[in-house]
Amino acid sequence: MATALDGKPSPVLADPSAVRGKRGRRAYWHLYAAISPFYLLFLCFGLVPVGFSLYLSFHRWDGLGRMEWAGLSQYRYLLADSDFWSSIGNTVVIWALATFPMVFLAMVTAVMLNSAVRFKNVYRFAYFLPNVTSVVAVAIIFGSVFSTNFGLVNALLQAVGLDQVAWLNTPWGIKVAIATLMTWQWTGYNAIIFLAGLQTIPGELYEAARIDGAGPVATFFRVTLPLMRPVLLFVLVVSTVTGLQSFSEPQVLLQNTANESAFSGGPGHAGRTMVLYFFQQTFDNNDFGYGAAVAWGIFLVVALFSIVNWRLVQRRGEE
Amino acid sequence: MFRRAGLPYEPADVTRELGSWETFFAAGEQLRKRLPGTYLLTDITSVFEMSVNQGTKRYVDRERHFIGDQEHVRTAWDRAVEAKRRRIVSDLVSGTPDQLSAVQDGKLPSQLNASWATNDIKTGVPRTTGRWRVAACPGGPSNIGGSFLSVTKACREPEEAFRIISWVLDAANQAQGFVDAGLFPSTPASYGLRTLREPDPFFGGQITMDVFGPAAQKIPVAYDSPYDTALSQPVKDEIKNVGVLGKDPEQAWRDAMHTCRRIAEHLGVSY
Repeated sequence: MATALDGKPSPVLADPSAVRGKRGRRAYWHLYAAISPFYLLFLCFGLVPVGFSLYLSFHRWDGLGRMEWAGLSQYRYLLADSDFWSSIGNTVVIWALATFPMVFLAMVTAVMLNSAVRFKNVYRFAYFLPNVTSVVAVAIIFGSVFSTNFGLVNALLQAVGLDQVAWLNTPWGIKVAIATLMTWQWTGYNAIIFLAGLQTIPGELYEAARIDGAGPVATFFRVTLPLMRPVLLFVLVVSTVTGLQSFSEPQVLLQNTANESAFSGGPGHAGRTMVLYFFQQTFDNNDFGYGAAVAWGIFLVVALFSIVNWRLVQRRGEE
Repeated sequence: MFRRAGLPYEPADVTRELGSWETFFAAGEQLRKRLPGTYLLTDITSVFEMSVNQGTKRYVDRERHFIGDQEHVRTAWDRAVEAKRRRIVSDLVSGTPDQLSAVQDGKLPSQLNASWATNDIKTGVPRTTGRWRVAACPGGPSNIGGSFLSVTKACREPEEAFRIISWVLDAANQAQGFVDAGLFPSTPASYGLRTLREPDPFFGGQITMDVFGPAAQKIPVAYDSPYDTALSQPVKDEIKNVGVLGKDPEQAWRDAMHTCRRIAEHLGVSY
């Protein structure tokens, strides 16, 4: 059939006739060519590695030698691996510590940006800047900000009469530091997304609310928030997907000296996230098969969280 | 700082008088007593690492058997715990801004490390120039490891690759690596070259190769198994927990051994 000619899936064409379809497909080749870069890149750097990692997860491989069939043993070990489970716990705690304040702050920022009259673009640029800054650079700066004796955070604490906290030396301090870094980096980005959402809400609705005697708080909860639900869903899903895959933040923040593993996640493994654990297994231990299994474990966790998010936001919509 | 604490401070004296772990630890106690707030070492991890690396056995032997639960590791572990008990280590983490500032203020006047650490000190705390000397490691020379080059089977130009490797590894290039970044030369032929006989102003005009060279020639050789990384990390992580979080050393040892057994089983290493 025609489909076999070029190996591409049949596009949705209006005419079912094979002759027309064939000619049509030929006629549209330049359109296919135009969209092909994405698909070719996706094939090379997306689909093939994903498929290979699935294949890898059923093998034992040190990265150089011969692969050895391992069946489901990598996954069996994964289920019993308390280090992996604790890394899920760490990731979720850090994600929650980062995401909830971040969504709140982003919403507040967006509402303020929406009503700002002057220097609108300057603010937008300023809020977006953290997101395009290199995570590595940011983590190095945050390492100083959270340092015990000379850090900015401890200086603030002492200014209000509180004690120093050894942020990067205590399990909770590490989590808070990583979460703060992520919040700082993503608030602006999400504020811009929220702002775009806010601007799609027609002004008449606000006018109607005002005429009905609703104050600013009621307007926000009765008009703005319900209409923002799809945007909120997007922000939550994106934050889940990125937040649950945090890697550079703990890696750079907690790596100290060259003669220590850069992937152990600090004292008590407090900053060992799922992806950090995946890296350690794969590239420190050269256990590529198990690394691949861990990667699929991460995929399941992220998928689960995204579905839960989606259901939560969706169901509230139906009520 | 050693002089102010009444300790030996000339490299030869330090090597002679603080040459064993016991005398080194005792010096740490004297340092803390004479100069409160000053600690001999940053953390106990370096004591543990150096001690393990002074031996000829590591974590996994040639027969793919886990030996990280044996006497040689346990001795190193106990020595690290002792360093904490005798309060000669700070509560800082190596490489952090806090540690660097403490080093700069003279609160951490010594380090146990490989030759490349000289470069870390030079770039991390440049203002301490002239205040450092290199002396032998207490308890004998310690092998912190290194990298190697190899030609894989997939290499298309093995002879060309070999020529490049030979060039990289020749005595003059290796000597240059030491001058530039403190990377220890892979061949003893480098030690006597003129570039390595230059006094180093950062170390008060000391010719550091006079200490590093002889140590390298007496270095203990240990088998480094492909499984060493995976099966040493749990022990290193737990000794860090003892040092930084104050975890009970016995509990930490049990946890480390428990994790090691689990990983050994997974990797097909017997124990």
